[in-house]
Amino acid sequence: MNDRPHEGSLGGRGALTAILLIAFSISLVGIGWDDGLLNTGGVRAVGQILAAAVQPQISLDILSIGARSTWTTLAYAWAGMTVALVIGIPLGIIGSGTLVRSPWARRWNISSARFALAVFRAIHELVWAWLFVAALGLSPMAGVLALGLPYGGILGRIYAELLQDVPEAPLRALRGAGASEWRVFWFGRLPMALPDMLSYTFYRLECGIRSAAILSFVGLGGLGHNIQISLQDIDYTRMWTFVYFLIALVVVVDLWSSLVRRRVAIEQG
Amino acid sequence: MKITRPSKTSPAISASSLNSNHPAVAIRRAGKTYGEVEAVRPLSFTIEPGETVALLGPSGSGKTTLLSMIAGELEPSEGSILLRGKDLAQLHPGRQLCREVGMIHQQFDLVPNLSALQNVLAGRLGEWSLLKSVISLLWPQDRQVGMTALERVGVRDRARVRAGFLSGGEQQRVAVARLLVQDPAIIIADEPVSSLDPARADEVMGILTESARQAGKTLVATVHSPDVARTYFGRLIGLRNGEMAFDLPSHKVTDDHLAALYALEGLRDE
Repeated sequence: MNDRPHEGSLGGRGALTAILLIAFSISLVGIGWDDGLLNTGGVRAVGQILAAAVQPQISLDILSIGARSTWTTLAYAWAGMTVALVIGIPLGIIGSGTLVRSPWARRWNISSARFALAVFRAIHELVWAWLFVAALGLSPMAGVLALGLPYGGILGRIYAELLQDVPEAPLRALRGAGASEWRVFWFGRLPMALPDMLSYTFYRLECGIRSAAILSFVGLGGLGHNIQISLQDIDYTRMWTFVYFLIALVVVVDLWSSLVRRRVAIEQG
Repeated sequence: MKITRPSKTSPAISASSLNSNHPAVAIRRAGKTYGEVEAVRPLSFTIEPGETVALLGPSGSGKTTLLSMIAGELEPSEGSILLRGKDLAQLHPGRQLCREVGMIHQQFDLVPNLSALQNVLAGRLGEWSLLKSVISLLWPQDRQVGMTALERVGVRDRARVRAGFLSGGEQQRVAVARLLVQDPAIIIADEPVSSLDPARADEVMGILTESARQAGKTLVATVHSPDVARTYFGRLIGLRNGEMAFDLPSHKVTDDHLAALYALEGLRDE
């Protein structure tokens, strides 16, 4: 292990830890513990929620609502990812700077594309959702765009880096065979980066499902919306039914992604 | 081993490599210096079309530097190199150079995620339009050309296997097949078998030299093992300390030549 260049500063780190611990202990004294800081009914509520976890409601009615809202959430995630890919693929390719040979053009490509990606990424999907709901009203389009823009920013950034980080020797061989940078991209860079790009895209789809569930709290329907209503009704058993739907959805997507990844995986040698 | 002239009926011979009065490679007082260090002192020699030439020498002898200059990867500090009469420095590095020289490296220069066939067809990238290149990723174009080349190096049955799943020897065969499809006048090989075990190394070296002869190509290679060089190449050039130690037909290279070439004394003087 040679990634600890600051052996000498360990003593300093220990002193800092001690100071922080002391400061924390002193701060505990200053808290008014009796002024309703803790929800005294909380322990009971946690017990109720845990008890409800083993007896989710499985009436036909609830199951059909669960299935439909699972579909809605998946649809939002899927549509959002589609928007994200439309943004992320072209900007990621340009942002990798691999299509041009001159250093000046490369720098311009990288900085302009990455700036655009950073803008999309800097704003959280919930904030995008507020903006789009304000602009478009409570329409599905607002949810899809709110999800697609920041995810596009994230995908593009990762794609750009994966495309830059492929082994150089095969690319040099392709250039030696007379290939231009575009052909090198299609025949060398993209095939070599594709497994990691796919893998990351699937991971982002999982995240997208979670985010779509959260976005449905904003009032766009779906699993998150039903979880919220159940919580407002203090109906924990119903809430768990929807939570299990959400977990099942993520697990299914994970299984699908590992199937696809196994097909594209390559071991060297 | 004797150099066989390419037969005129062989379909794989490019017309351009035949009717030329120029030597395949003419090196005119070309040398390379890095600062104060003379990696290759100015030297001159010519290689005729169809010759198979091995560059021999201990590490640091300058053989790889010389090879890289012939391949157009490295610019000489002085002098010039002509390929079939054309000044290497004047050739367009992409499409023009790839018709003159094709290069095969030690290893790791196939795209591991593409099939053997697609890797071989990548030799066509200098000629294909961008559209045809992209289509070829899904539906390999000029398939027959690729299959013929794979057949010639003996791995036709591995055409659909992704390169990352091939053994080291198979990968080098595919790299040779790619060069056959690229069809340059001169094949440059940088220690093409040094990453393989001795049995595999012999096999691949045999295929490389035989393919080059059959297709009428000029072959220039750096070779690690003098025995391999004597077996498979027609002409050996020994380099030592950036200077030419000998330049002989391989059957005239004696053990004394080789002992002097690899002797440790003298290297310590540097």
